[in-house]
Amino acid sequence: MTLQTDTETPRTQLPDRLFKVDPTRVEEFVAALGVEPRAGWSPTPGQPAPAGFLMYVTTYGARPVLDSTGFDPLRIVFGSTAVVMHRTVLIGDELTVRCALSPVRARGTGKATLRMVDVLCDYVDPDGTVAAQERTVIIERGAE
Amino acid sequence: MTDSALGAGTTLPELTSRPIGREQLAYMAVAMRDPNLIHLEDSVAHEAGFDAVVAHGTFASSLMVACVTRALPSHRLRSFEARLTAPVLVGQSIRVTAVVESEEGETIQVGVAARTESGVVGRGTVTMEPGSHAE
Repeated sequence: MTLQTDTETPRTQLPDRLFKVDPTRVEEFVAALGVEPRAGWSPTPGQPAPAGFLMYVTTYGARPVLDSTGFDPLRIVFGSTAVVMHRTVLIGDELTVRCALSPVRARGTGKATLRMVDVLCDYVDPDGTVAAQERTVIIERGAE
Repeated sequence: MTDSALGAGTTLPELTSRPIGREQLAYMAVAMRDPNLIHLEDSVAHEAGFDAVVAHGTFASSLMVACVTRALPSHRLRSFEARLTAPVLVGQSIRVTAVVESEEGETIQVGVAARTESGVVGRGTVTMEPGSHAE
């Protein structure tokens, strides 16, 4: 199973970043969520990371995406996300985040125009194997 | 819950969050390193057209997955897709329902939906397969 993406359309490749699935950050995330991934779960190295933790904002940062797209952060909404796990990502893993952006798409006209972009992240193991893939669609609402 | 009990149409236990408070939003902003003040400052949320600060989208998407991984071993998670259709405002709870849509061998596809008191805020699909890592 792989993430279905449009490989024909040119993408904007952002610089790779290293990301550690840090136990403290995972603990913060689960505390904020208020629900453990499963009963008895603990944020210790070797345990599966909560799936929702793998999101570009957390692993790569929102700022480079905003800078590249020019989207207004006040008008952004989270449209959808899709994640494929090629292996279970574990707390303590160190991954390279390879982040790319699709071209910005527009829908509608005038002040009602919505702009959308796909944020595509490959989470890559030190040996070059892709451990997981994420595609998040963010939408910039029209200026009203 | 065993796989033999998970035929199509099986309903998994619901998951309901507590009302999402401002402290949780602040905690999530820190955990995600999300600088967007729409989640934290009422004045910014009002400027963006919302009545109050808005919960991060990851609350609904993560809870939809958690509803399934609390019923089945999380190392079996193979993929998920979540589409958010409405915002979740501070003070609202998210209730997630999950129904097995198909079961083929050891692969189970679960349809999930997230709701607040205002209605449906997201829908998605979670696919579970045999995992390669023991928990």
